[in-house]
Amino acid sequence: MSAQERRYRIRFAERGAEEITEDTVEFTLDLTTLYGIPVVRGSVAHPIQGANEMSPFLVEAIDEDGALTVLMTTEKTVYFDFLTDVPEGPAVGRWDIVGRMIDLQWQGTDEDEFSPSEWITYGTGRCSGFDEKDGQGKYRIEISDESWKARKHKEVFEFADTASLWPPGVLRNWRRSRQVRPATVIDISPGPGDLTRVTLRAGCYAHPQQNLGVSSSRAIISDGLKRFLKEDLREELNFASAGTTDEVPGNFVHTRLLFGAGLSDSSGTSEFTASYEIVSFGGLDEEEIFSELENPLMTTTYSQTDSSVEAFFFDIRVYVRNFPISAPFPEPIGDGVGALLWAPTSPPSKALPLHIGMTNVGYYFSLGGAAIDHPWGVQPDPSEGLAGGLGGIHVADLHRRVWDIMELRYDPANLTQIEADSSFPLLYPRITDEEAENPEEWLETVRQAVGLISLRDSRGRLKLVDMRPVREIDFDSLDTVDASNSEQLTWGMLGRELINRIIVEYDHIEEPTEFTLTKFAGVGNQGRSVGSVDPPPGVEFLDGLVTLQKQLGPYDGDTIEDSGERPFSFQGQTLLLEAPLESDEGEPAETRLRLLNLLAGWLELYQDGLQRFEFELGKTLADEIEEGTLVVLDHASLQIPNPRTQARSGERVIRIVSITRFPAYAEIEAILLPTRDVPEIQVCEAVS
Amino acid sequence: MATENLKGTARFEYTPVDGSPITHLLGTPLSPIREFVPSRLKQRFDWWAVNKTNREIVTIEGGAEEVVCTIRVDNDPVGLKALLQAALEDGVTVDYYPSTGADVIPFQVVEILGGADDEIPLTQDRGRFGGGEYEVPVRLRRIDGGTLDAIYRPA
Repeated sequence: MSAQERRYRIRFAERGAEEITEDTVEFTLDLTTLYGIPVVRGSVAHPIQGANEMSPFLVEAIDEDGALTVLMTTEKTVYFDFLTDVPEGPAVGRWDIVGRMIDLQWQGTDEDEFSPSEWITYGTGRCSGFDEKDGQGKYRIEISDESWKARKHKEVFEFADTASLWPPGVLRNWRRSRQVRPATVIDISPGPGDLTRVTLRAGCYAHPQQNLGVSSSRAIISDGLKRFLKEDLREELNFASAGTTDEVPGNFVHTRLLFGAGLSDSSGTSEFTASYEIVSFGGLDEEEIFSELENPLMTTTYSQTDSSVEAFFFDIRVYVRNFPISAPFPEPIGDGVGALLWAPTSPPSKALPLHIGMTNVGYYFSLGGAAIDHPWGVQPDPSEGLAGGLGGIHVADLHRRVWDIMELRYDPANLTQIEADSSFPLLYPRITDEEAENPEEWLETVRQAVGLISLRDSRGRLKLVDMRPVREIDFDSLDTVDASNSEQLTWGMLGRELINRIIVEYDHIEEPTEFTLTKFAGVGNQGRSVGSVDPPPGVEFLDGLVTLQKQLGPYDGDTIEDSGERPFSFQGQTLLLEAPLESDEGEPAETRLRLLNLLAGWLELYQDGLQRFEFELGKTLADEIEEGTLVVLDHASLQIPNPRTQARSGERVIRIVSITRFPAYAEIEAILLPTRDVPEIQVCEAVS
Repeated sequence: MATENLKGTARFEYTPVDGSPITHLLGTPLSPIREFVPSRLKQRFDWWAVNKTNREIVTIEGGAEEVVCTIRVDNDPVGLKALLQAALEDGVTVDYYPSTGADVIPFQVVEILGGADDEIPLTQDRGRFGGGEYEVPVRLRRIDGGTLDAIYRPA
């Protein structure tokens, strides 16, 4: 039993403010202006989809003496910056309210335990419209969440700058791929004017003991690479040398030669690194621009004993423009100087994807050549030694980076808390044009696959809520919903939300298999010829990795015979989920177990269907909770049937997914979490 | 002015928009003797738990007192209509003086009982002494946060 007197206010931030603080508030509506107490509708949660949506809500206010009209408008100068030679127009009044941040607050008038002195924010959004449909002098101001920002398709995944086109491979350790070894620079010859001809060599030793780490497939010049380069040609080609001052671009929009430090894993670390514009892969005219790729010079060496191939190399000569124009191309330093072809400004595509979660190994090359942390890289795991681990990004870290770029507001403490939970599987997303087109929609599939949902807090900020079954619940630490603090409780289960068979469809990515070299035309134990080697089947991507469509499961729940098969497929193609438990391909067992435990949790949640509850909750408890909070539901007190006790008795845990706050109570939506212990899959040592 | 000599000092004073202050004398003071229903107004949100023993109340800061009463034996219908018109159409506050020397009570005329939102009806007084006396049942709200205790429970 509690009674409380409150005052309410609505704060409007100044234009452009991303947060409402005392410093950014431009004007405030109080009780003398408000037509009623605004009610913020709770989000509509879709746990299976990992998504939520907020319904717009209205603030109704009286335009007393025209004061609100003044506040909602401003004097602006008419000026169109896309027109030239047009003088500034006169200053005129304009509506100036749509898009502004607005928050709703209340404050107790008496300071006691039920009436905190600080203002409590119970809703935040942006003005999405306004009208006077209820009559002149009564404004209705519509407030919406910022989901329109998430739909803007902002270029989050801008550059596919994580792969080497030739030799093909990823630029840092990622998943099971080790950092690509660059080609060796074997010759640098001055060309005319600002041009320099650089000769690159990549190849391998066929004998395993002599393999220097470059697989045979890393040397090939694939048809895919040739297609990419031809499509990357500029419309106007220029083979002439530039003058002494004017910078002249190369003939490729995105493709560059990356030369210098850090590209070698041996001692060859020079002091200079830069990305050079490429003029030609052959002669200096349009006919010859790809001649070195169409007919690359190949060197093979053969065994003196059985004539088998011991090694082979491809050489490619590339004309580049010096950068800066007045600087000569640097001299090679030692044997370890490397170079590779890459396309750092190319957008992600199916042919050239962006790899998320690569290890930084301490540096990365920005477009200007400076060493920086890559925006989608991760710090290497020190426990993995010098190799720095194979990368992998935590789902909370992924959300933080995407939301930062999309300028979506989120609760940083929430992401830190989720990130500390190591039970989530590490992710290795590979971004193509599909994911890049709508990042937030793609994130929904990520959340769905790892058992998270995004909700908004009272400040309108996004947060992640763990929807997996909770193990080892301490009932005493949770608040209880019973007959003394709730009203009008109803519940239901929908058959369409029953899932008793789970399948994960995903991309399996691996290094291409080695292929056996046969003797090429040659003389003696060394031959030089012009030719090419067909790539092994499955090499479809310019990052040199093989992609195979696979599925994990199906995993069946124990209700499948009674209720019929209700399958659900996770579309995990871009997640690169870890391989199944029975795989012997060397993935960390711990990561695979996390995934299997996640799937077990999904079955536990959904194989009996999703039980949803709706009820009213008195404000004393409602003021203490937020979306995502766990509470205990007292079945005996509320006379709700409990399948676990097969009676209207016992207690179970529910998770709040939606709260609509009225002054004296809140309308709650919640889903049931399983109360029996979910079996956790453990690794057992084989008994011999 | 048939009842002019019956008038005391009870009066309304108001200032029309773009006008000069006007004093409107009342035939009889607003009085609890007849047709006088005071009430307290405060926005209250009341919620009971399902077991009907636990209650949550939230009230909104502020509040006002109202009275439903009747302006009686008014023999200045034109002046009365002008007063109601200024109060209802322009939102002008009317100050009520129960008697000479009494504290002023600022009122808003909320509505005329029995009339539509766009009507200002005057009714002939039921107990009129002669012709030309009118009455109007009104709902008046004190808007300065004060009470009406002094009117319906005189000291």
